Amino acid sequence: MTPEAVLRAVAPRLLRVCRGVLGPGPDAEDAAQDSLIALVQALPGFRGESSVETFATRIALRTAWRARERRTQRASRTSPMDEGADGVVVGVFDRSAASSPAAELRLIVSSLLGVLPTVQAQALLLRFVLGCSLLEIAEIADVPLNTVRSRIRLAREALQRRLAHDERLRVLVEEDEVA
Amino acid sequence: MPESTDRLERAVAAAFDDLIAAQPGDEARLAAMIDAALKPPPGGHSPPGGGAAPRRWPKLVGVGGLVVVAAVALLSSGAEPTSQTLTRFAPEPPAAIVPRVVLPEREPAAPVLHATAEPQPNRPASRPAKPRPDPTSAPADRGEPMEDPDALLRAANQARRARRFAEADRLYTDLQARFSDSRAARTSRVPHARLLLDTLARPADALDAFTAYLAVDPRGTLSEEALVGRAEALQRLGRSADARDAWRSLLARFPESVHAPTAHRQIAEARP
Repeated sequence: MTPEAVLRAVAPRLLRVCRGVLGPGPDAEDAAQDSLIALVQALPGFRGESSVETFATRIALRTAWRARERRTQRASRTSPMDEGADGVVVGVFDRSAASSPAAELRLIVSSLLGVLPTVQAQALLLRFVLGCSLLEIAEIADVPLNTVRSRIRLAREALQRRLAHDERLRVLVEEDEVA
Repeated sequence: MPESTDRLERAVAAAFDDLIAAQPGDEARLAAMIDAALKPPPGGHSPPGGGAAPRRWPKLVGVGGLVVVAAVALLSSGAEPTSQTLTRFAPEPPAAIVPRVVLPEREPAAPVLHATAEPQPNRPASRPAKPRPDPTSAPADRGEPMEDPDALLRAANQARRARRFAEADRLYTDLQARFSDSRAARTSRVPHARLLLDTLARPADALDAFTAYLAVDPRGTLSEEALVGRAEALQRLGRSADARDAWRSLLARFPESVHAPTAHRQIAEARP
């Protein structure tokens, strides 16, 4: 299989991962391109310990995460007003757009991603936002399954604590069966 | 895993679904990105994530055609990577591994790729040699009948996320037929409708499903998504006047929706 074929197969997933980390927009698209370049460069060293898709997802996650950190640093240098209460750059998940419960939930999750320890934040993103299985996350993070469970449990507890303060979202979590 | 946890996961996934889903123009964007990734500029690629990488792919959109020759040359020459990235992601020297495609059993929309290489002897103990069944998989994945509407909804969502679209469609339909009074069935209409509209190209069925959700649960948590979907389905069916009204309904109910700019644009474009 040529690199081109590999890239064609995994590119949509990489873009999805980048949008999950950075929100839709040019930042995510730039990160996706960087991820594809990194994948081309890393493919010769790929040892087949996981699927190529998992390998590529790991690269995209790291690339997008670095971009997110740079964006946060850039915004805090240029305009402290752009920062949310938790030090996370609101960006695409703008507070002004949080008129619906879904938008509010996006905002809270995005905020949490900026304050949780990176490994927990990435586990939260992979599991909750991108819908990865525990096994997939274990392979992407290259850690044992129980470690993934622990990280997700801690991240979930943090999320639940946030939601407990929001009457609208507490109801959403308890009563809604959002797909 | 407690039920409340499952609901929370689904709620978050649904909240992000539209934002991270494929968008119009993605195909061209990705083709250009792939082209750019395979065509190293003079002097090599800058390290990805270095923060200064220029956006090359927009210039390539519309050029068309991918550079197969460059890809083949990269493999056949065994070219050494030139950036720090390889060091980070692949600490060992490049191996002569050529991945092959193993098509999934169902719906080959998202090929699963595996390398042909034998497992490395230094595989960490925590990593299984062969894929194990996912303990979190739904009963349907294990061939068991599901009598719980929540479990059925979960299985349908998992199938949709795994791009097993036909299976997801069947599970949603099954859920709505067998447990029509359940909250899971009512809620399932929105992701099902989105699947019908975006993937299965059945806008009339999608319109029915969005409308059914709004009729039963006009102020439900997914009503914003249902209003957007309804408007898009009407557009897809060529019912411009009805679509315009649907976009107005969205704006009346959710004036600050993330979809508001789209709604304003569609209303303006539909103006006679």
